[in-house]
Amino acid sequence: MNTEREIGYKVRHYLNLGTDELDRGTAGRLFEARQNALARYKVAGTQLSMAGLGHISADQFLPHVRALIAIVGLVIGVIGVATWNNFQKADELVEIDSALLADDLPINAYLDKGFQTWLSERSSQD
Amino acid sequence: MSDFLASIERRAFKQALFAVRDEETALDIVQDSMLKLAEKYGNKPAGELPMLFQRILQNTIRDFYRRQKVRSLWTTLLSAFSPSDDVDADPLETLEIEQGSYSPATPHGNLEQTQVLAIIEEEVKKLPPRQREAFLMRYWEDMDIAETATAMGCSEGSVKTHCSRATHSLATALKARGVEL
Repeated sequence: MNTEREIGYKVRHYLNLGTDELDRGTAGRLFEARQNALARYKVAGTQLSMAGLGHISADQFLPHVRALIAIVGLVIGVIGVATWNNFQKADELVEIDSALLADDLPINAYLDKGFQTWLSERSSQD
Repeated sequence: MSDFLASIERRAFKQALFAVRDEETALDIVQDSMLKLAEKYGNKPAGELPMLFQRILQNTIRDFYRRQKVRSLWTTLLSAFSPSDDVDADPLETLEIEQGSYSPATPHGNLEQTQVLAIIEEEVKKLPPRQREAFLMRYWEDMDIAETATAMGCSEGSVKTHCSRATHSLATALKARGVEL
C-alpha cells in the first residue's frame, strides 16, 4: 500500500515538472480560457444576485399584498351587505306605501282618532 | 474562483492531453470545463470545486470520445464509398509526426529528468481511461477516495482497484523501460 502511494507521489513529482514546462502559447491559451470562464462567472453571479434580490423583495411584499387583498375583500363585502339590506328595507317600505295607497280606505282615516279607537275596540271584541 | 482555476488549469490541460492526445482538443476541453464550472457551480463552496471540476472535465473528455466515435463511424462509411486519391499514403507517417510533436523539447534543464518525464507521460497516456482518471485524481489532484469516487461516479472500492492496477501497470512499464522510481 505504501509502495502504491510512494509510486503515486513520485509520478506526481515528474508530472508537475511537465506542467512547468508548458510552452508559452499553451500557457497563454489557458490564461485566455480562464479569463473567459471568469467573465462568464461574473455574469452568472450578477444574474444570481439579481434573482436573489427579486426573490427577497417578493418575499418581503407578498404577505403584505395578501393582507391588503383580504382587507379590501372584507370592506367590499361589508359595503355589499349594507347596501343589500338598504334595498330590502326600501322594498318593504315601497310595498307598505303601495298597499296603503291602493287600499279602499283613505289615508286620512288612519289619522282620525275616532277611527283608531273604533279599530282597537273592534279587535278586542274579536 | 480565479485562484482555483489558475491552480488547476495546467494539470487539467495535461489530463485532457493524456486522454485525447491532441493539444487543440485538450485546450478546448479545458476551456469548456472551466466555463461549465463557472456558469453552473460558481456559487458552490471552494472545497467542492476540485471534485466538481474533475467530474466536469472527465465528462467533457467522454463527450469528446463519443463524438469521435460517431465521426470515425461516418468517415469509415464514407471512405468505403469513395476511392482513395493517394494510394501510396501511409497513415503511420502522420501518426508518428503527431506523437513526436508532444515529446517535450529539451532546450534547458536536466536531459535525464526530461527523458524520464517523457517516458512517464507516455506510460500514463497508455493506461486504460478509468485507471488513468482514478490515478491522476488520487495522486496528482490529491483527492481522497470518497471524492474520487464521487467525481468518477463509481464506488470507493472501484477507485481503489483502478488506482492499484494503474500503479502496478505504471511501475511495471517504467521498470521495463529502465526507469526506477
